Amino acid sequence: MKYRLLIPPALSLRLTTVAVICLVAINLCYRCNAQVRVARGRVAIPLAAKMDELAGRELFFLKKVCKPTESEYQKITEATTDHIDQIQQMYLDLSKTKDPNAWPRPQQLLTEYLQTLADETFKPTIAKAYRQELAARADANITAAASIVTNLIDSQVLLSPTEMETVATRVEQFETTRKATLPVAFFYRHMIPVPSPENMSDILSERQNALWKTQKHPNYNQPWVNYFNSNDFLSTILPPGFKQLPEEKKN
Amino acid sequence: MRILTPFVTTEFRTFTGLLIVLLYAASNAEAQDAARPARVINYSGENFDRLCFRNMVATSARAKADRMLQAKTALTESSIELNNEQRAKLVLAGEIDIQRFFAEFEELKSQWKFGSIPQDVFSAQFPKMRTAALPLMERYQKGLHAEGSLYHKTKMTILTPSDFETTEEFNRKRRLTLYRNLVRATVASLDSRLPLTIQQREAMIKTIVENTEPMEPHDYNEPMLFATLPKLKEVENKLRPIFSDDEWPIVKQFIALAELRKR
Repeated sequence: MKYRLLIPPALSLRLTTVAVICLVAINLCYRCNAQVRVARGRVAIPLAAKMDELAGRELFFLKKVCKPTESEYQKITEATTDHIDQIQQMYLDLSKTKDPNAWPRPQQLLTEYLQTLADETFKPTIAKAYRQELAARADANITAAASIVTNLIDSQVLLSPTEMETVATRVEQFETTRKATLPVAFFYRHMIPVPSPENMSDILSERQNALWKTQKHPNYNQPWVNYFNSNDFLSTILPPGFKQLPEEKKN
Repeated sequence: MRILTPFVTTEFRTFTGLLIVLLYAASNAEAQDAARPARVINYSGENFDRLCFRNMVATSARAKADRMLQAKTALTESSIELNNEQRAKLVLAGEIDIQRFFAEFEELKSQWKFGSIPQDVFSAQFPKMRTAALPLMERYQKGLHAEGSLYHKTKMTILTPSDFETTEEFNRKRRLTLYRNLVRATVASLDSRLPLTIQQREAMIKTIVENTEPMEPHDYNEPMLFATLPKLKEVENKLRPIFSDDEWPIVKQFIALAELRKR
C-alpha cells in the first residue's frame, strides 16, 4: 500500500518490462559473444565437397583393384558415405581444440577404413592385394617427394649419380618428406619439403653444404588442410564417373 | 528603396565573400596540383641484380658462380682423374666464362637508369629491361659452364677422347637420374588425381623414361609439371594401353594441363 503510493502501477509495469528486456539483451549479447569466441577459436576443416571427391577417387581405386560385385560395391559405397560424415564430425570436434598439423589426414583415415571394409567383404587374397597396392602408393609418394628434393639439392650443389641415390635414400627418412603435402610439394620451389639445415649437413659434404648455404630456401609450411581445401592446377581433374554436386553439403 | 538597401548590401557582401573564398580555393587547388611531384619509383641497381639472379645481388651471384665452378670441377674429378695442369686449365677456362658473363651483365646494366625514376618512365623501361635481361637470366640459371662454354671446349681439348667420353657418359647418367626423378614426381601428381596400381605406375615411368630424351636440368622456379607434361604428350600412344577406357580421359586431361604453360 505504501509502495503503491510511491510508484504508480503503470510505471511499475513499465519498469519491470524495461528491466526484463535489458536482462534478455544482456544475456543474448553474452551468449553471442561466447559463440563468436568458439567460432573464432575453430580452424578450417576439410571441405565436404573435397572429401566427397577424395572418397570417389578411393572408391574407384578399390573397384579397380578388388573388382567387387555390384551389390558389394553398393554396400561399400554406402558405408563410406556414412563414414565420411563421421570423419567430418571428428574434424569439427578437433577444430575446437587441436592444431591442424596434428590431425590425421583424410586420405589416411579413408583408406584405413576401406581396408577394413575390404577385409570384411573380399577373399583374403584380394584384400591383401588391395593392402599392398595402398602401401605401394604411399611409398611411391614418399619416393617421389624425396626425388624432387634430391633434384632441388642437385640444382644447388651438383651431385654425382651415386650421391643422388644416397641423398634420395636419406631424404626419404626425413619427417619433412614423409609429411609433405602432396601433390602441392611438386609444384613450386617454395613448396618442396626442404630438409632442415641440421639434416642437410648430415647428407652433404662440407663443400656441398657451404654451397647450399649460399642460397635462401624459402619453405611455405601451411597446415595441410589449407592445401586440401584450395584449388590448384589439378583440381579440375575429377575421379572417373564422379560428378560434383553444387554446394550439396555444408561444413 | 532605402528600406532594401541594407538587405542588398548584406547580400552583396556575402556573395562577394563567397566568391573570394571560392576563387582562393580554386587557385589553391590548382597550385597544389601543379606543385604535386610526379610519382617516383626508387629502382636501384641492386633491384636489377635481384631480378636477374633470383633475389641475389651481383656480388653474391658471382661468388655462387665461382663455387659452382669448383663443384663442377670436383664433379668432373669424380668420374676421371685430372692432373694439376689439366685442373688449372679447366678452372681458368671456367673463370673466363664467369668473367665474360659478368662483363656482359654489367654492360647491360649500364644501359638503364637507376635511382628515383618517374613512374611513367619506369613503366616504359621495366618491360624492356626485363626482356633484355631474360637471356642472361636463363644462361645463369642453366650454369655458365655448360655446352658452348669455354670450360666445355677446354675440357674437349685437354682430355683424351676416352676421358672426355667418360665425363660425357657421367653427365648423361646424371641427367637421366634427374629426369627419372622428375618423371616419378609427375606420375605421383597424376596418382593424386587418378590412383594407379603398381603395374600402371611402373609401366608409365618406364615408358616415359625409355621413349623420351632426358630434359636439361629443370628450373625449379616454374611448376615442375609444366616442364615434364610435354614429354608425356610425346608418348601418348604408348601410354594408352596402360589405362582403361574409364581412365584414359583423365590421363588426357592431365597431359592437357601443359597448355596452361602457354598462357
